[in-house]
Amino acid sequence: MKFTSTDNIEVDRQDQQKINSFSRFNMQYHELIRLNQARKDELTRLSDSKDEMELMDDDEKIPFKFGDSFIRVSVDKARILIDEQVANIKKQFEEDTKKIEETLKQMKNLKAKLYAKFGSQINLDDE
Amino acid sequence: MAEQVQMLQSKIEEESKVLQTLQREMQKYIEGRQKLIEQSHENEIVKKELDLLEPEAKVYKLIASVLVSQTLQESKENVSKRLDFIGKEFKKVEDLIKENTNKQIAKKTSIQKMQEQLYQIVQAYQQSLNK
Repeated sequence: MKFTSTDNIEVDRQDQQKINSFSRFNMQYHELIRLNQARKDELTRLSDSKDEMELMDDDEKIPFKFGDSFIRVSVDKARILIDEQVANIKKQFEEDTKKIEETLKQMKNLKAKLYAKFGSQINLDDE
Repeated sequence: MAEQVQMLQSKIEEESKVLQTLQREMQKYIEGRQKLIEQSHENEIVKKELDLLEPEAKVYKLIASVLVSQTLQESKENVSKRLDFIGKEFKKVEDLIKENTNKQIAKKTSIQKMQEQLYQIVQAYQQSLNK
């Protein structure tokens, strides 16, 4: 986001605050997108792990990751634990999806106001 | 003269924007290339470790939260496939980088030429005023 030329229009305190706000929202937005992408990837990996266990017997033991250690649990139990993890991640994903929507709304609002005043002297579109 | 100047200026601005886009593209390619190098290193290390193992050695693969048993054979094949893939992707990105570099050079040259033209026109005009 930058000013591309200096004309006669001044930036008052409120404008600056709007710009700062926009900047914060923008950063928040990118961070949320990053987190949700990571969650998507994790969900894929968890699904893969269930696929791998499909060929095993329910009571076969398999090392399951708890923090930095591995504890042998039955395949059955592993599936339950994985389902719990999947549910958690999906929940976080949904919550942040909502946050993303709200953040975009706020950004759209500020964009409208700032473009109205500064027109082509300000660039609020990244990509 | 004013018309010519304006035309050149707006062309220069246009080309500069294209150049900026190329530079951003290049940035992405370089990041991608760096990632591939890291991945290649990682997989090379794994390959070396696997090569040191006896055929009956137990190998596990971490998939999300679970350690799944694999045969040494499977593991070696997996790593080998990955290294092949990385190699191919690496070549692709290197080609893209080359292409982008050439495009940038062409753009820079063209912008420079136009800037020179602009300078000439302004110079000529100023001289005509001095007569």
